[in-house]
Amino acid sequence: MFPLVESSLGRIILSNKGFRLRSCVEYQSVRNHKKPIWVPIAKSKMYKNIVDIPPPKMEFEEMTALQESYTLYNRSLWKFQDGITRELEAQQQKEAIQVSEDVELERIFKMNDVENENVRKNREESLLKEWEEVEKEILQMRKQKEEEELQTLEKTEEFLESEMKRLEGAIKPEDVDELIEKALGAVWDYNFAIDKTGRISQGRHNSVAVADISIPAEPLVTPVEGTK
Amino acid sequence: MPAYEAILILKKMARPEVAKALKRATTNIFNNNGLLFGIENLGHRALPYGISAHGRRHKEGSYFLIRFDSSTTTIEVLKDEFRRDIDVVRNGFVRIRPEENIECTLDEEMKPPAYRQDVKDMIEEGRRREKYKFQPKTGLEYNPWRT
Repeated sequence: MFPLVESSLGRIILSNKGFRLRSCVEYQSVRNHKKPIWVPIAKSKMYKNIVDIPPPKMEFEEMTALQESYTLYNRSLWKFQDGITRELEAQQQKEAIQVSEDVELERIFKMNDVENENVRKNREESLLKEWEEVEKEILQMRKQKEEEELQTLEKTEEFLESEMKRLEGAIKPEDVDELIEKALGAVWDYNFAIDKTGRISQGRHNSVAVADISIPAEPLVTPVEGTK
Repeated sequence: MPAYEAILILKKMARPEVAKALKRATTNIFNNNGLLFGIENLGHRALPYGISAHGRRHKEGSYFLIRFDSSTTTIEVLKDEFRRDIDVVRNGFVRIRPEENIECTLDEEMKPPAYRQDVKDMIEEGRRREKYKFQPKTGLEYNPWRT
């Protein structure tokens, strides 16, 4: 017999036999009010006739049928429940997506509004700036035009004054005879000669006979303004 | 009215006839609403070449300038009048314009080319090479491609 060591968990069997042991300690769980496994059948119970009476066939079929119907019913219920759950989940998911889309759209619209506002502000500023520049340019152009007009007016006035002044020198028809006599009496010669020292000899025949030609000090005609 | 200068070459005549011819000319001017401003005698000279006028060959003539104002359409009338005057050998008209003030640049032009200002400017213009500057042409105030 193997030495036994009893514990609260079971008996520990110590073996010191010559065959190889898997372990030096074999554990056998405690079987209360039952004999250990290795103890042979009691003699009193050696010839006990144990009759195995099978259960009735009908019962088995009935049990099987019941089991099958139960299983079917259970499965169908499970399937039904699964379907409902799936639909619910899909709906919930859809709602969640819808909600998230709405939120996202709202966020985007808000961002868009902010961006639009910024753009509007910038545009207004730039347009104002542009208009200010244009206004400045227009004012400058107007000022320039006014100045030009004033200059033109002044020029015209000057021209008119000079013309009026010149017209004072116009000869009347009754003075023509006197003028003709004066002109015939004095010859005006525009020819002249100049030497290297800068001396100017007036007249066409200055080198031959200067005294032959009477040169008036000034031309007899009234000079036009701005001409020689 | 614009200012004109009529040039008359009168044939060789005695002084009273010359005066009469000038009187006719001035009367024509007055008749055509002209304003007379003066008569200038440039003397009796030999013509540069023989001129035939009114059936006669002229070699001498008296030169006169008549300064007057008249409308532009009057000139044709006066030309016709003077052409048909038998004492007038030749006639001409010149429009008197205000004298332009032109500065004398002869001293500058007489310099060697390297010292002339316009040549210097041309050399400078030839040297200047502006680099190509990128123009985005987006109408924006900022560069949208700036990194």
